[in-house]
Amino acid sequence: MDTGPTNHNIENRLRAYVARRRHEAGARFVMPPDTRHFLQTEVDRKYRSKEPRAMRPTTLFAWLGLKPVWMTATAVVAIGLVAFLVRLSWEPHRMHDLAKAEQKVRPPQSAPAPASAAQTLSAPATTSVGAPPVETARLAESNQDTLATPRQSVAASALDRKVAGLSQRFVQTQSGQVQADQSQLSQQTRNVLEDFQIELANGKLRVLDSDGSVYEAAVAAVDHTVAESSSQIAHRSAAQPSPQTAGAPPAETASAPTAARFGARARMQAEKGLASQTSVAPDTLFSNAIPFVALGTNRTLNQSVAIHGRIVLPQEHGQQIKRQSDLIASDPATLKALLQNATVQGRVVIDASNQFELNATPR
Amino acid sequence: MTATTSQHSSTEAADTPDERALIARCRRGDAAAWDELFERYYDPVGRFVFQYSPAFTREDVEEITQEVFLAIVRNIDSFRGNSAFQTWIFRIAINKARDFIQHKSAAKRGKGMEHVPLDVSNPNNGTPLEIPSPASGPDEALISKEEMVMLRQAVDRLSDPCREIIELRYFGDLSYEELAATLNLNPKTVSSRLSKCLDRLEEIARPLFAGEKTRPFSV
Repeated sequence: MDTGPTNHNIENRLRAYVARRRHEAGARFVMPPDTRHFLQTEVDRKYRSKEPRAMRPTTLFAWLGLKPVWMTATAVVAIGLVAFLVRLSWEPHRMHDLAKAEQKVRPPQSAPAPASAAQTLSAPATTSVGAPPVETARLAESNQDTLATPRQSVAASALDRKVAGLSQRFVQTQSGQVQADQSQLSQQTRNVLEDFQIELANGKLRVLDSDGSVYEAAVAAVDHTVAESSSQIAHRSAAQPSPQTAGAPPAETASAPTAARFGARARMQAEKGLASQTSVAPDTLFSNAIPFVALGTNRTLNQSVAIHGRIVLPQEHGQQIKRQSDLIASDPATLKALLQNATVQGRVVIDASNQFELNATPR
Repeated sequence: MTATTSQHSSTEAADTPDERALIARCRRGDAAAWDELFERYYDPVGRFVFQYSPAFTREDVEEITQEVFLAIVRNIDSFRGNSAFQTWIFRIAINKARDFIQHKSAAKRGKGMEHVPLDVSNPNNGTPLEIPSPASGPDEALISKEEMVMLRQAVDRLSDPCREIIELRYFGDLSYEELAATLNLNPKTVSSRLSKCLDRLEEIARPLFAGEKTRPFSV
């Protein structure tokens, strides 16, 4: 005690109390061994629980098994995975159904061609003669339709891979671009058919644009073109008329299958395009040219596109190809050679408001 | 007053670098440090608890002290160093002793005043405890067992702040400075509060002692 005696009697009593209890306490208090063991066990329990959880594998399992948040997250991931797998398994069926539906709406004229015609043209560098069937190409197209507007570069590369059958890639030449009214065309419009691919299969011609757009066409028979020369008519009268085009104007041939797909507006565009072709450019028909009208919707612009074009064959081959049937009947090697040396010319009409000349060469 | 000296020296040793290092090691879960802590503070805590009530036996003290150290193990992280570590332990001991008394009185309620056993042997070595005879020491002549019980009763009737400051001051041997640090008070405030609390204790104890025989310090 660091204070001296006080006047409090109670304080004296307290001091006496303390003195007596200290005297009564006797020997030193020593912690019993069992108490020490008990306390050390408690120390061990407390500080072992403070160790990092990663150091105790049982803690990890407990966390994985018991944390509600983790269990919820696991369930969400599992459900997502199942949904993804279901979607994956559903997509092919859906594409197959779409292809079947397309086959149903196709008129009898576009029924599968003979086996020889099923063989399609191909650029030597990218395709082979034993290519997958046309339906596979349609599935690929349907798959493309399900996608949002793809980037052009991706679509262009995908185009090379997805085109079924034999095809040839073309690029718009500088002269063709100059002929187009560049000042009135937007950049997106100028990209239309700047780089495209022509595929010929099952008697149908398809133009595949670099953004994934597909323009369907039927090859117009040379002998039904209004502006055909008399010599060609004479030559053709001796030949067997094509069963697919006999008695039907080219416009109907071209628009019949596509109208069901693209609707009344596209059909109107096709008719307008054909009229434009026959009236505006009667001199564009050549003996070695195969005219075609392709219709479709540009995915980037979301506008209808009509191509009134012709495949201008090289002179040495062009003399041999007078009709669609000639083209179809050609052997694959001949077809390859034809397209590798051909040019594509014509006019492209976009949504009936913009149009430009097409002059593309093989790439 | 050997016990007084040792208890006081333990108090003075508080806040030394050695003690801080020991506490730090204990907080890291060092078993050896805990053993050292038990060794260092078990006797002072035991003596403090033994003084707390004249009714406490050594067995009671061991039981209470075990609870005190268990609380220390579980709550050492809450020790902020505002007071000496031993003082912090004493405050825990006060609470545990009060809990023990309440628990025991609840268990024996209705059986009258508890008898204080005087024939308890030392549980550690089996030898009889060193309990002096009434004439064996000078302190013994100053206060009887009954007066000790009455004084304890009087202290228990104080308010909590008064009871705590008196128990720490007289049972724990804390200086005014240590009390000020522990109770977060100015030393002068400690002095005045202690004086007022002693006055209050005297008021409470006077009627209790009124029936007692006259003692040297009795009024």
